Amino acid sequence: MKQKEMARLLKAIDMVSIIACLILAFYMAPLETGHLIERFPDLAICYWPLLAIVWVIAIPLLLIGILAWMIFVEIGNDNSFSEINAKRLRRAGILAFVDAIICLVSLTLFTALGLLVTELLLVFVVGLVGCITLALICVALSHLTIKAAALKADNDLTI
Amino acid sequence: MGKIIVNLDVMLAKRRMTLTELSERVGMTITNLSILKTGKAKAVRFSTLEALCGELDCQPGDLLEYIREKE
Repeated sequence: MKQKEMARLLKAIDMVSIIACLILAFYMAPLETGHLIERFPDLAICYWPLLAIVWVIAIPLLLIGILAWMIFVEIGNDNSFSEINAKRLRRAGILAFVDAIICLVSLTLFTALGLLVTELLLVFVVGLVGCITLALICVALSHLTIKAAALKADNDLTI
Repeated sequence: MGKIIVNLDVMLAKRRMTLTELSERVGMTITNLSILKTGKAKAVRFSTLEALCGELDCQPGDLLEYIREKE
């Protein structure tokens, strides 16, 4: 697959991911939270805090989507191994880590308040594990990219 | 400490050859030759040195010179 085709495919997947994130945050989350409240009326006071947590988690994910788009633009311009891409990957890793912290704090808070139900536990644990994994991968890739960028710079100036 | 300089322009003048002509003869881009000529290159491959010495009819020492930098 050629570089430009690869970049277009990556951008398409990224766009779908961003749209999916928006649908999950602003359509599915309110709907499912409502259903949860119907099954567990004790959680009624948590409706808006839960939605707020989802929306706060969604913001770093959307920013990661934007960073990924910028990385894919550079890939399309045959500039995959560059310091700017390494910085973007590092920022994406930090954002994913922030989300992991939010998941952990939310999980702890709901547990402490005795409001943790199985569904919420599942969502927070999956979110926590997913965000930590994403953070680790992004930071590791950032390190590899910056090393590759240095090698490329040396190679470009080797005549 | 010192640095290595590439005397490509000197050899081009001696052989009365332009950079464009040399690039066509050795099969290198003018961009790469300019990088070499302006001292921005970080390394030179032996194959490049062979091609340049072959076309310019010179020794590697005619192209490369070590200059000690004053402290």
